[in-house]
Amino acid sequence: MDTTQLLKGVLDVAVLAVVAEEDGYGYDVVRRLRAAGIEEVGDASVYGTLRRLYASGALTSYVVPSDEGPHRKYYGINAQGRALLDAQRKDWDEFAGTMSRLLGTEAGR
Amino acid sequence: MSVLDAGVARDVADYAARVRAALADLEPDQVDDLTDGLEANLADALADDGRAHHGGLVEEFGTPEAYAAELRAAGGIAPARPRHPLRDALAGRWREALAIDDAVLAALRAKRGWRPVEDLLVSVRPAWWVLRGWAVAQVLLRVTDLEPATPWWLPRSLPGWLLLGAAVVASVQWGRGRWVARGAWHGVVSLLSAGAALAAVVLLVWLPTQQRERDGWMQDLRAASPADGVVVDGEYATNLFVYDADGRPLEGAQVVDQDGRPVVTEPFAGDLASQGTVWLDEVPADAYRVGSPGVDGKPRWNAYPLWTVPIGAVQDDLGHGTLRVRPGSEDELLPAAWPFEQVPAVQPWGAEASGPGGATPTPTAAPDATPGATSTPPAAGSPDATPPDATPPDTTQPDATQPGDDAPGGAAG
Repeated sequence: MDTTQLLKGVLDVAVLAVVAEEDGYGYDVVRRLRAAGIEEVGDASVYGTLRRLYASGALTSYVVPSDEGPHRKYYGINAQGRALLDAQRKDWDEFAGTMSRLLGTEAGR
Repeated sequence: MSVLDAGVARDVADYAARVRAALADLEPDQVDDLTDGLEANLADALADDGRAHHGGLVEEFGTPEAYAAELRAAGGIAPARPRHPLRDALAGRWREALAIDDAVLAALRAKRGWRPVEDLLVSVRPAWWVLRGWAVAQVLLRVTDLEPATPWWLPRSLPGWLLLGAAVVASVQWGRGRWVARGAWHGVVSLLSAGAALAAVVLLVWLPTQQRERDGWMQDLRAASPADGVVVDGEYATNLFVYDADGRPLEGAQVVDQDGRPVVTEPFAGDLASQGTVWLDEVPADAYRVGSPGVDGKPRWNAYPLWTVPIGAVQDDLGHGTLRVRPGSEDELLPAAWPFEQVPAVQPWGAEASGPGGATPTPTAAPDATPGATSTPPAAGSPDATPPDATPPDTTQPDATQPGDDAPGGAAG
């Protein structure tokens, strides 16, 4: 099964979860997603998602200047983001449970 | 933070610029929003050891266009309508060219023997940066008037040097990835760089040609003119004034050298294209010196002193190039200004014997007469008439020191 397709639907919540854990900048978020086992996601998809979540008001953003090299744009979660994350987490749990039951039943048959 | 070498930094900047170019249909602030920190992210990804690397940026991240599309899709920004059809079309062509570039590079990199070649090219890249700066400076110096017209490898003026320095520094900094052009400027600088490459080739071919041409011209000039003229105290005399034995001015005195060659002070006598003009206070225009006419009406350029003809009285045959006084304009001619009304008299050798007429001056008599002049000043006693100017005619001799080439022209006169 092509997990890239699956990921598209849940990338928002995955990114929110990573940022909720700790503020992070672009590639930092990519790296942490990968470390968590989400390998197939494209870098640009993550950056685009961060940008969209920020634009919708779920994330805050601040710039950390760097002595060597370009500045870093960090993202952090805010109250609206947390509410979104909670709602999506709930949705996911329900959906995953449903899918597991369905697939478990199917498999046990 | 990762420390990248300059080459990788450049690749990253190129890649980021192409991503931005692929988003060019968006509003500038949307593009900034989507691509803020893009270089840092790309560099981090390349420097991440925990990541499986695939080679170049295109192998790693896909084409910049695909990357841009992904950013756009995930960022929730719909592709906009093309707002600049022409610009978009040009950008499309540019991207096609870059894609070909990528494909060629990928094909080369797939070849076994390419690696050392690329390493070599990468190590000589700094030389190209300097050459690029030099080419840009040269082109700017050629199109501006900062420099003398004759081209040379290096500037000869202070502004020229400053321009060269600035161009080289800018080129090297850009090459090292220290100075990064953003957005549309990246395209401009890339185009400029390509133009500089072309200009460098043209300049490297053209400059030596120019210099050979100039050298050839200088040699021609040197060969063409074993300077006709009379040198006095290191300077060319522009006119000669002959005084007779009694010290009175003598108009129309014809002067020849020991071989009978006319002694002229105008090396380009009568050639309107080459003969220099003089500026006199008396006439509000340029004027030419002109010799007295001989019996055939043509000027004799060794008949002194030369008079002056204002440019307005010159027959209008500039196309033909020979200086002629317009008939009927003779009264506009200006006589020469004699340096002295009179000079002390001399006692020519043999004058007592043959009488004051001195009718038959032998060629040897004349040179001998001048040394005698040095003995006369005490007798003359008029200091204003005796200054060193009285002796210079003596120095016409230097002219005779180079008769090595006994040209057949000596017969003229």
